[in-house]
Amino acid sequence: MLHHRSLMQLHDSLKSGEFSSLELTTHYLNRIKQLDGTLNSIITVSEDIALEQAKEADQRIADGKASALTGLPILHKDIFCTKGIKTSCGSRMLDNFVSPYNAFVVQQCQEAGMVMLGKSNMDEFAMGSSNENSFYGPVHNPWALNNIPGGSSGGSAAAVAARLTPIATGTDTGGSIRQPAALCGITGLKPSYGRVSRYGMIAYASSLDQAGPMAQSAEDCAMLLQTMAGHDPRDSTCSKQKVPDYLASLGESIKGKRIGLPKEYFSEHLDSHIADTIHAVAKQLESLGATLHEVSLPNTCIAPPAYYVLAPAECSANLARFDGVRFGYRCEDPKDLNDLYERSRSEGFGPEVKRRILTGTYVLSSGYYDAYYLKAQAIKQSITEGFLSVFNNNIDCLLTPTAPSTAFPLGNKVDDPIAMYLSDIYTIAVNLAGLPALSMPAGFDHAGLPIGAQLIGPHWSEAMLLNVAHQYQKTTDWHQQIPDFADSINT
Amino acid sequence: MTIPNDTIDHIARLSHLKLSDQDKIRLAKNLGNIITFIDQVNAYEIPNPQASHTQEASQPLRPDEPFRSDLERDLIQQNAPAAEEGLYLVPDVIETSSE
Repeated sequence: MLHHRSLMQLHDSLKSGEFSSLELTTHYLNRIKQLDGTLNSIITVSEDIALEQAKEADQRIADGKASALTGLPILHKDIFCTKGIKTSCGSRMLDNFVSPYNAFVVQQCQEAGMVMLGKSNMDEFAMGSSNENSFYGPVHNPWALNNIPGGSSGGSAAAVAARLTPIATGTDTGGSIRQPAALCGITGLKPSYGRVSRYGMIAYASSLDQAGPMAQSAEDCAMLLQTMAGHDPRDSTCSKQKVPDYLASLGESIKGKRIGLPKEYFSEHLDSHIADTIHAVAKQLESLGATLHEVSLPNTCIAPPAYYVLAPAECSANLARFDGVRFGYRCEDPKDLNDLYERSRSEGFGPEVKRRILTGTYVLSSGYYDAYYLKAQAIKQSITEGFLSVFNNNIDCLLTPTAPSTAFPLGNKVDDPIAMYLSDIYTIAVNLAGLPALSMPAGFDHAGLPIGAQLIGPHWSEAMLLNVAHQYQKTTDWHQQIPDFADSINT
Repeated sequence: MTIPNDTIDHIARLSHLKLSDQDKIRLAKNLGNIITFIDQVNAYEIPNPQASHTQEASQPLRPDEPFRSDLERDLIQQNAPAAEEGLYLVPDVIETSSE
């Protein structure tokens, strides 16, 4: 079955002429038609564009001008602007928005000859950890259809897990690539802040947002990151740091790698099955020649509250642009300009977005700024120093759980924002420190739901994280497990 | 913790959000819980607190040159809820006397 193959295998098949990009693309479009009615992982399917791009890719392959990604299908999170195709960001506010330009990430994929299947579902404006905050309805987890897929890149994660696409893009502000990757049993990488341009990626919290690949394996993530990463002058925070050859270092031995296990991530509150799973990953890495070391990150517990000051503060400013005047939703019959602003925003935004705008406005309002925002910035700095001190002490990377639980039932936490916020307890500190981190499948719980293991490295260590994950995946098969749902049809 | 109504009204006004009475009841509790949660930031003690934004402190510059293209404007304004001759339309902002 074509969709069981990795991105690398599909590339080899296209190159050898076993099938064409048009046949491959048609295969995935058929799967989407048959399965996504149940999953709801895609907001817009761009069938006409996909077929057109597939034909162009086949021509490029025939002309000998193909790159590693030419002809391979991809799904973009609906946070990336796509010229001529609706970019909704999961919101009623942008339900009618057709971007006049492409995001950097979309442009890079297009130039590489990739085929865009469509735009994936997500929590509104990337605010959420369960994908229940989308204007287009919740996404279902292919491992258990009554459960959440995680969020905010839940559509991308569910679609890759159900093999509706070989690979997808996601974005991660507090865990939005890694947590859904863990809950859907796929591999997802959040690169270092500044590694991938944010141009054309709708902003939630600009100092934390970062785009990355979501795929079946570390090797597939490496292939896509190679194209996503790089300097772009249109994002002033995008780094000029040289992009290494991510595929070249995948095969290196991890013998002698020093892996830290931060004790704060393994407290008595952690689900024992998840703890056992992560310790089994540690043992596997040890058997490959790595050494294990207990380390301490004392500021870990304060990361979620600091994040929920900084991210809403930035979102309250970033989302001020949605005012019903230049683009997006406008209310009916405004009686004056103020009424236009207030009703357009109130009717256009969903409850969680409003909650975060109000929280952000509160912490930035007169009298509260120093106590919340400045203090949270200082905590952010302190968390960064904590990580750097561990890495400077000869630790190559850290191994932790990605999420405190496996996928929970839909509706379970919708009325309790704090419980929902704590779904990202193990991922948030990484964003505050601007570090790269990867989640990879590491096992299943008693109910057969996937568990993810997180690897965290120093700034710009994506190649090392992908190398460690690839070596782990060469000797395990958790990443090759496919939910029964994916094979419930005959294509 | 429950947030007083006048505080909710104040931040809703600053946020340009119109809240229904039902929204306010729900938000009073939810926002109260969120603020109790983030209050941990206030109470947390760190040695030598220093605020910092990113690990790279460069500030790239570009030439300060205007970029004008009518085609681009037209394309951009295809997303406008109401536009005419290159201008965005909004309700009257200057009050007229109704003598």
